[in-house]
Amino acid sequence: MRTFQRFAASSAIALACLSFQVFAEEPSAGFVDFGKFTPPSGGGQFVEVNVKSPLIGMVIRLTEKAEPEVADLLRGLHSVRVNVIGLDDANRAELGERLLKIRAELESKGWERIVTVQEKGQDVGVYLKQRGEEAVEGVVVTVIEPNKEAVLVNVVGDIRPEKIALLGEKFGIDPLKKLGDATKKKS
Amino acid sequence: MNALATHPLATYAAATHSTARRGFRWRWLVLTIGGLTTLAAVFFITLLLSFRMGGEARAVRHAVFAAAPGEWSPKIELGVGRLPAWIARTGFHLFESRLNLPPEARFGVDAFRSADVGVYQRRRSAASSSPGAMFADVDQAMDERDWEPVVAVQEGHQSVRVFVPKNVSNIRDAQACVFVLERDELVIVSARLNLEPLLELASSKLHHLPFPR
Repeated sequence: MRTFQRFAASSAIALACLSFQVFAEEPSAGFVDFGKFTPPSGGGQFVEVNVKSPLIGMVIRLTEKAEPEVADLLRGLHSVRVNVIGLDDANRAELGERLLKIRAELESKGWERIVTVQEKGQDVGVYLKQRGEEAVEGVVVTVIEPNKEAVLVNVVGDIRPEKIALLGEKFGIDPLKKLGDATKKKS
Repeated sequence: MNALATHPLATYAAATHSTARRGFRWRWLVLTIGGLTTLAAVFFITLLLSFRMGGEARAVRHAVFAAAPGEWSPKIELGVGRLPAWIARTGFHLFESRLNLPPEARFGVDAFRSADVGVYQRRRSAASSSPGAMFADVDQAMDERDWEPVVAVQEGHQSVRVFVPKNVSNIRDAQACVFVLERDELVIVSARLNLEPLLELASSKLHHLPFPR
């Protein structure tokens, strides 16, 4: 009886360890940890959107009949994170440095900068993490407008360039069309 | 035979058997009444408790009150749990033909599962935590309940946060909790919906609208 109890206990522990191993997810290669941001003390704008795969899956089920192309694009996604932080005198320098650090880190980890725009005080950078020639694992968009706001976007998942451009054309969203074209040219 | 029937022991046995049968009936009667009373009591207690605010809304309220201390008083505080929602849906379907409501109302009623609403006003305020610290406290409180933030917006004196369960996946049982804090007013809304009827309604409406090109 004691032997059986020991066997049962050790099997339970082994199963628990195995399940922890199975369920302990490693972040995807396209995921970038921007860190925590706090709202500006001066009451400026602060927006944070963090949508992960369970919610994306639910949106897919909701939209697949009415908008199959949207559902098809969403199907490959794992997560979407958006941060918009209003800049004021208190946080401008710190956030500017942080964004430059994030960009340097992306380039050191093999992300490719495919779009660079510096005009009207705006500094825009778009980075891609590609898997082979056909698929994109992650997209990062960074925008700094020193007198206004800083924007960071990270989309993680199996992103097909032709689908991004298709969505941009369907809904008349120019930035998506440009991004899709840029990724198509790159691949 | 007659002697046996009139024997004192036989008389005693007959009397005891009759008493035992009456006692048996009384016992069943007491058990039945007791059981029905208990069921009714459980039903009414469950119904009363269904009008309390749910756990997530209370957790947000507690975290916000701690991060923004002061004299908070409720203007509205109401929860409608699953049981009253089911009663309302059943009643609606029974009397649907007599109520002159638009057809869209049916979709809304079918979708509704439960909801909590709280509106609070702060009369006297003490020194508050920074918005970032308040968000962190509320996030922590909801994380302990396995909920996560999906949207956070802060502008001026207004803060908005939307939470969903970490394992959200069932469109027939979708939950969300929203809080809005503006200066000294706090609004918390937590709801559980079946999204299928709403999707059906949205699909029927969308087919009549031109898509943007």
